[in-house]
Amino acid sequence: MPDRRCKRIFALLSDYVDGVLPDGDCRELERHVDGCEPCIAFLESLRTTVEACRRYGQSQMRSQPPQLPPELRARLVGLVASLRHESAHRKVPARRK
Amino acid sequence: MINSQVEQALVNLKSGKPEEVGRALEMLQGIVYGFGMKVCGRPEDAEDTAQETLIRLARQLKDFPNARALSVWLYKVAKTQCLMSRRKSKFAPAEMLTLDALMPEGSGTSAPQVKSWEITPEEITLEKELRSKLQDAVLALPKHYRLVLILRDMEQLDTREVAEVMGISEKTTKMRLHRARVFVRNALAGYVQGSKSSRVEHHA
Repeated sequence: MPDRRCKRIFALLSDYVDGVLPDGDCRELERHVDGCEPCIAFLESLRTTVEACRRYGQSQMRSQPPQLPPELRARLVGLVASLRHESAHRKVPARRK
Repeated sequence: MINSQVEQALVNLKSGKPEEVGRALEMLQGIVYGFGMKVCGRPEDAEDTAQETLIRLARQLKDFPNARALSVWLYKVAKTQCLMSRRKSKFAPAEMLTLDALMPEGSGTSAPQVKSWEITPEEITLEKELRSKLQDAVLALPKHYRLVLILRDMEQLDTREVAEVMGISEKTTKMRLHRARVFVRNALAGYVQGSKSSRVEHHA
């Protein structure tokens, strides 16, 4: 990414990494980047960064949160269950007399 | 991409059966806690965020038409709670990231300063050191950039979902995402590299 003329191309790199860059921009970017070692290295390092973020996200998803305090859990379960119960009853049409 | 746990949680919530509702709350707590950890970086803030979000869910439970609606609602509330509960951070990030500031230095004729990266995408195992550097880099991001990066690249929501959670346009979402990625990339420079056999992959 040697000079400021690259700014427009630079702004397109994430869309390129995500595979959502429109065809015209894609061709322009590839023409610009192909054969330019610093640009290729930057693009690949950006791709690696995105992959590292994804793996970090997945690893964090497997971490266990502390248990909900039992009284809070019981209160929330009761609240949701009663709301669902009310909601189910509201959906039953009133019988005509 | 909707987390399959959100889909299961919605089924369980709709059942209204106490045992299933309890399991749903635990699943959703796990998702929100993980999100809170990434955004706030502190277990106590993540725990507060998860509890406050579940309380709001229970109080304002409405008929979510699908898992996507529940997911967007959940992240929207969690985002607000997390930012509200966030304690003073040791980081004092600037609010704006500009492309000019993020672009590598160099001129058209001189050698560009793209620092060497030491491991390839294939080799990423997220060992302790990289995990720590990544976490610090994400926490050093200004909050609106940090949230977009976490939602898109870590929670793996799609661009439209991130835009809905953040209340911004898809265009702004993409702009913030790109700047956040480059910020993190620059923070990890010298540690992670692109593939050694890297070349441009021509899109069909």
